[in-house]
Amino acid sequence: MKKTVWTVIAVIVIILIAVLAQKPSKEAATGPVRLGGAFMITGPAAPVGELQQKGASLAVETINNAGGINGRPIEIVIEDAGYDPKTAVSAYQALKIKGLKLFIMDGSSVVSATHQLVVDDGNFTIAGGATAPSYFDNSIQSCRIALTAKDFAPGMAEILRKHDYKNVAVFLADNEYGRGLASEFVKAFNGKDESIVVTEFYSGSAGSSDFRTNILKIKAQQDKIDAIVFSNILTNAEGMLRQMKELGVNKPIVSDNPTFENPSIKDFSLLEGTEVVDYEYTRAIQPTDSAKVKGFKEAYRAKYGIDPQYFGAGTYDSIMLVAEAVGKVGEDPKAVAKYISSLKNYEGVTGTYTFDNDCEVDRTLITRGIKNGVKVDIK
Amino acid sequence: MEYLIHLGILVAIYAILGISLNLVVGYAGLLSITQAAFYGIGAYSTAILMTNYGVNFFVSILVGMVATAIVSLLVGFVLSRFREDYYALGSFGFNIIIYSIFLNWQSLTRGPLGIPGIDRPEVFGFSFSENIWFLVLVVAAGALIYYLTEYISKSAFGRVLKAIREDEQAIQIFGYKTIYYKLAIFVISAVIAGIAGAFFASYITFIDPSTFTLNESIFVLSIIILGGLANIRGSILGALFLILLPEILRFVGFPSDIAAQMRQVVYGVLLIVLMLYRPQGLLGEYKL
Repeated sequence: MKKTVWTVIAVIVIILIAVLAQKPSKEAATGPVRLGGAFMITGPAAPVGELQQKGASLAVETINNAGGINGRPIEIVIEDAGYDPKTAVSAYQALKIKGLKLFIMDGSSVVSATHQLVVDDGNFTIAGGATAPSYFDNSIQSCRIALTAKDFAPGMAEILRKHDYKNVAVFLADNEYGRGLASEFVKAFNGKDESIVVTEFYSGSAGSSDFRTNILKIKAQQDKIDAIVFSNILTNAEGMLRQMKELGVNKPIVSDNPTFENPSIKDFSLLEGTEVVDYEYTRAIQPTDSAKVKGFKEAYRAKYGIDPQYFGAGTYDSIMLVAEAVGKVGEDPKAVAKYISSLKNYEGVTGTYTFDNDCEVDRTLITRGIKNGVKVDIK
Repeated sequence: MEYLIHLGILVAIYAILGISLNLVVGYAGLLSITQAAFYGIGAYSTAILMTNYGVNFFVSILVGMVATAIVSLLVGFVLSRFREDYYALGSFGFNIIIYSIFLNWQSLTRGPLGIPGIDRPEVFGFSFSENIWFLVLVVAAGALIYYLTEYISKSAFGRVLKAIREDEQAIQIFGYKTIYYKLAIFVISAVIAGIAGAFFASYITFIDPSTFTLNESIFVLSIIILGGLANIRGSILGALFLILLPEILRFVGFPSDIAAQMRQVVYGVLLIVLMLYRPQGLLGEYKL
């Protein structure tokens, strides 16, 4: 038996070596432009990964239908990065041996583990939705089009001030984004008489579904608070909002784009009266949408039968940015990085981007709200 | 080639982890589901010392070993009073406690933000920043640990552990204070897991609490059950199998929109088939 076992292992190792020993394919300048996508297809953020795949697939189709990049078709090779640093590094390495140098990678755990590898290898990556602070790395080879807690927290504080809400409860996830948002909010909401009465962090694990303990702690302070600062990008968001309602928590909610775009929230009446710091982008077609944005939303709906949520649209924009850069300066990752980081007022489908020296985006945030179960702009 | 080296490093790290757990589960027969906690303590000790205090990797690994030894001594003292299912449940609880500490002691661990920018080892001006050299280092450490644990398993101490596994009460009749043996092997196992954690932190250069959950403990347990309990080579084989198999499946050529899901299905089916035909694991000498 032992001989058989070692024989099987030897065969596995030989197969692996045979597969990996192949030289990375170097396509001629006339072959397809190939991008690598490391998405969170499995794990706790899988619903987001699915949206990213959809956005990526539509972007590739749109570019190819329009004649490709300078006549060359575009292709995206996708690997699962889970939501786990180890899997993310494996996914990056697997993409690298397939000869890829330009990447679309997302998810804070994923980009935190891989962005330095990308930079050290002289490659290029762009993230559509990651909010990790560690991504601020002073390298233009790791770009991002999403804003972070540093940007959302001051906006939330402004909404509270507009309504003269002085005393608030903070109810956020015990994860990278929630903790970051809490710490930024403390800095932003520090005016005269402004006070955070209670802060509760709920479990950020995928399987958590009962938040009554956290909610009751907030309810116990309900008489002392004017509003609740709330964010939830996880699959349990709608259940949590229902529990808040059931337990009689009835203070106005101030929230952010990731909550507003959470694919798991279907019943927006649960967020009635909520005001949100949001990107300009909305998933439904608006009368103010440009032809480009409208075309994207229509194509997405035609292909998938649903409106495009931010995460898919962000991936779409990321690919479009890279495609434009390749069309202008070729496939050299450093040239692509230089081109994208120098863009000012680039019109994407999710908003207008200007990049800084770290290739981090500067973009507009607006306030939206829920009135009668419908999202509306708030002047 | 770099991908192969990367996989080699992961296999080596998980083989060390598997060996560490096999000492407790395979040799002493104590179903411990807490290895990720010690793995995490080793990783965090190294990460914190290297990033906050600029301590050399080799010094921080030693500090990490001491930290895991102290914590495991305390935990092991409590767990040693339990048997069988209760032992498993106790160890399960400890993993959750340690995970919560990683998540909530933010002034030390940065909580969910994780610790980025952990350096690679350096000694006498030589840096192990190239993956090939890091592989050499981790394989060398793995080889040392392999021979140490082989020695333990064949020593008189190892024979007492096996006797505890087979019938604890019987060996107590001969005057052996089994609690000390159980405690000793638990601490040795934890220290080895801490070493694996230090290598992991330095290799991936970023750690956050999500790496050290109960799932990771179950993954390590799967490595040794698949490779074979009470067989050190079995731990290496299990790590080789469970790390390489999903990577090979990346190259099978499933359609890209279902590739990740198909990989998981195939991976799961292969494990079920293997367990049906080799319930004692590939090289196992003992069955739970």
